[in-house]
This record gives sequence, structure tokens and C-alpha cells, in this order.
Amino acid sequence: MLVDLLAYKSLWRFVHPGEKLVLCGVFLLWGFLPFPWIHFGLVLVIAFLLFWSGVSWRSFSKLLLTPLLFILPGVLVVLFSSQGNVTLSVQLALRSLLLWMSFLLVASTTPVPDMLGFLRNFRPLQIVTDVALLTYRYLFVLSARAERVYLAQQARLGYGSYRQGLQSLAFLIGGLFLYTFQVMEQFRFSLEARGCEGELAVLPPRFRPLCLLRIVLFLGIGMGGVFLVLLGGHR
Amino acid sequence: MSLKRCILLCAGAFSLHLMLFPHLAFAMHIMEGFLPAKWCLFWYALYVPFLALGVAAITKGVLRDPYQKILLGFAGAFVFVLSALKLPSVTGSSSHPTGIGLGVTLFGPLPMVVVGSVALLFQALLLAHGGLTTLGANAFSMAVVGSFVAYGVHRWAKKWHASFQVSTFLAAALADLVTYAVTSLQLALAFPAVQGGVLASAERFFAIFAITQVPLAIGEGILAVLVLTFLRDYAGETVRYLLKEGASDVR
Repeated sequence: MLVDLLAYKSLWRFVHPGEKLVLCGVFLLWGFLPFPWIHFGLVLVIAFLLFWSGVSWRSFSKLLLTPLLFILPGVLVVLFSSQGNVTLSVQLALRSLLLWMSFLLVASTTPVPDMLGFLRNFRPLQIVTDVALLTYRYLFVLSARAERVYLAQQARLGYGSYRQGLQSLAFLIGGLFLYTFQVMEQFRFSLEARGCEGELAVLPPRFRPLCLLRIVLFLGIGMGGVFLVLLGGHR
Repeated sequence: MSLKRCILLCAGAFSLHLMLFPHLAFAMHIMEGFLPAKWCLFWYALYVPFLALGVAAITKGVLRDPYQKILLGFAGAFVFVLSALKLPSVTGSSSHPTGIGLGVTLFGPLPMVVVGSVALLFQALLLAHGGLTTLGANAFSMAVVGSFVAYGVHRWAKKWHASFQVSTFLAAALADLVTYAVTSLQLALAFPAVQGGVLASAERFFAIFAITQVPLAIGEGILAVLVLTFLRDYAGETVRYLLKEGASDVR
């Protein structure tokens, strides 16, 4: 998965996730404020930040394709639903793009285990982050397995017709389910062999220290937007 | 513009989209940024109590057996991969199964709220399907409503002594349909029609989604029956041994 690869190669990988989350939160706040022109400007700012963090044009355009394929038909539906309200549709598309890009900025600069390692510090979330960490670790193993089985089935005309397709997919899912439990049992035995009693001990991720100045700056920018709304700048 | 004409236009635009991008049908997930802030917060407020219940159920299970955490982690990976598989469709689009009906049958409704949410989170982060601001709405329609509808149908079918195939089919197909109905309602509430309000808008969104989602729901129902029949025939003992929280006859 491209986002994952980019995150490991990012120039901002070791920037504290707290800073990136606050910056993302600020973009999020601005995204929900009624300033379409500023949204457009912020899209350009985030695009610049993405390139600064090491995301190439080619990777960015590849990543952009999927959300665009979702945004365009969605906007089209809203356009017809609102009886041709073009302004609303354009604003919606811009907001959607802005918010997606702000999350992309975090996702493409912070590997998932690092982010989960950071979130693990919040005790009530620990069980969810543990489940998410295991899910992340094994979704690639299972995806690779599913791809191989799918390819083998396709090579044997397993998806030639609708009926055959459903049958093949059912075998794939059933087989994958059993494989999942086989791998899980092996994982469990390996943990038991190492004296694990259920607590998943992983090395904490390493980041640069949190820069409070940057946090204050980001929060200031965010609050600026709120003041603009309070002063009626959106009218 | 009359309602009929509007529906025809929407259907036309949607069919064009399916022809141009056959590999990506309009998914059940609401895209990032599509909902205004108040609706994002509203759906999060409805979803979080169920998530808390799910986390509490998992925590209780983990205290009893620490390895249940591992089971759920793997279940999350399985549901993620399942939802990324292409489901054959008669409408020309090839969409993806939600896996909720099947997941509830195997893991139970409350764990499925957490597992489904984790799968949705990774879909939003890694595949740009759905979003984080709309995670509350998407998780509510799929992981909460879908899960409980599937569970309710299973219970109801068991009470009426329906066969294993009938109950599995109904649970998976209805979970899918209800998920799409709730998604349509969520969009209609956020974008009410100028004439006719929320109801008219919901009608339009239903009509648009119905083109792909009704055949897909039937397809997913059949798929769930085939998968569970396969598991019952070839791995009944393993499934019975490993899964203690599910809702189906596979146990």
C-alpha cells in the first residue's frame, strides 16, 4: 500500500506525531469553517507540505485518484439532489479534498505502528490500539495470501461467470478464514514460547521531542479561524 | 425539475460513472468531508456508546482469556481483507462485500463493532475509502446498525426454526441493505432536497444506491451461505473450538 510505503520513507517520519495531529486538527477545523477560498488555499498549502515531506508528484497523483473517484460521483449526486446548486457542490468537493489531504499528511508521514505506539500512551485506548496493531501487522500477510489464491482461481477460470465467481470467492474466503486461524495459532504458540501472558510488549517508537512552540503556533492559526467566524468574516 | 426527471438524471450519471470506472462502484462509505461538522459530531455521539460497549465486552473477554485480543486482531485483518475483495455483480460494477453479516455470525455483534471500526479506520487511512471525520457515520451504519440487524435476524430466525442457510442469507443480505438505507438517510439528513426536504432527498439517495446495492446485498447473502457451509462442512470442529462468541449455527 502506497501510503504505508511513503510513511516509512518520509522526511518527517521522526517528527512527533502529536505535532502532526495538532496540525491536522487545525486543517480540520478550518475545513469545517465556511471559507471556500481559504479551503482552496489550504489545499495548495497541504500539497506543498506533502512534497516537502518527501511525497513525489507521481505518488501524489496515484493517491489522489481513489478519493477523486469517490468525490466526483458523490458531488454529482448532491448537485442533482440540490437541484443544480453548483456552489454547494464545489464547496463540498473542496472541503472533502482538504480534509482527505490533511489526513493524508499524517498518514503519509507517520507509519501506523508509530502512531499506534504514540496512542498507546492513552491507557483507555490501549486495548483498541493493541487490536489495531495486530490487525495492521497481519492484514498484509492475509492480503498477500488472498491475492495469490485469487490469481490461482482466475488462472483456472474461477471467475468466468457470476455463479462460478461467487463459488470461487466463497472458497477463497473460507480458506482465508482457516488460514487466519492457522497463523493465529502459530503466533499464539510463539508468544507462549517466549513467556508472554497476554500483554503485547513492543518497543516504543522513537520521535524527536515535542516542539511546544510549533504546537502553540498551530493552535493560534486554528483559533484565528474561529475568531474570523465570530467576527462574521464569512459573510 | 420534477422528481422523476431528477431520479432519471441521477441514475444516468451514476450508470455513466459505473461504465467509466467499473472497478470502483459508489461504496457504502461516506467520503471524507462529505458531512457538515454538526452531522459528523451527531453520528460520532451515536456511535461512541456502542464502541464503548464493544470495548467493555472485549476487555471482559480479555481478562478471562488474554489471547482473545489476538483473536480480535486477526479478525480485524480478516474483515479488512474480506472487504477489499471484489464481489462479482450482475450490474457491471464490482463492489466489495461489507463482511458484517459474516463477521457477526462468526464473532458476535459487540466485538464486531470494534473489529468493524478498526477495519473502517484502516480503509480510510490506507485505501482512502471513507474517512475519519465520517468514521462515526460509517461505523454507525455498518458496524453498529449492520451488526445488530444481522444479530437480530439470526435470533429471530433461530426462534422460528429457520434453516441455517435461510438465517445466514437473511442476516447478511439485510445487514447490507439496512447499512445502505442508513447511509442514504445520513446523506439525506445532511443534504435535504430544496423541495420535499429530507424525505425527498432520502428517496433519491435510496434510488441511486439501489442500482448497485440491492443486487450486491443478495450476492453477499449467497456468499455468506456458501462460506459458512464450506466452514461447517470442512472445519466445523475448528470453528466451534475457536469461536465462542458468535451467533450462528456454525458454533
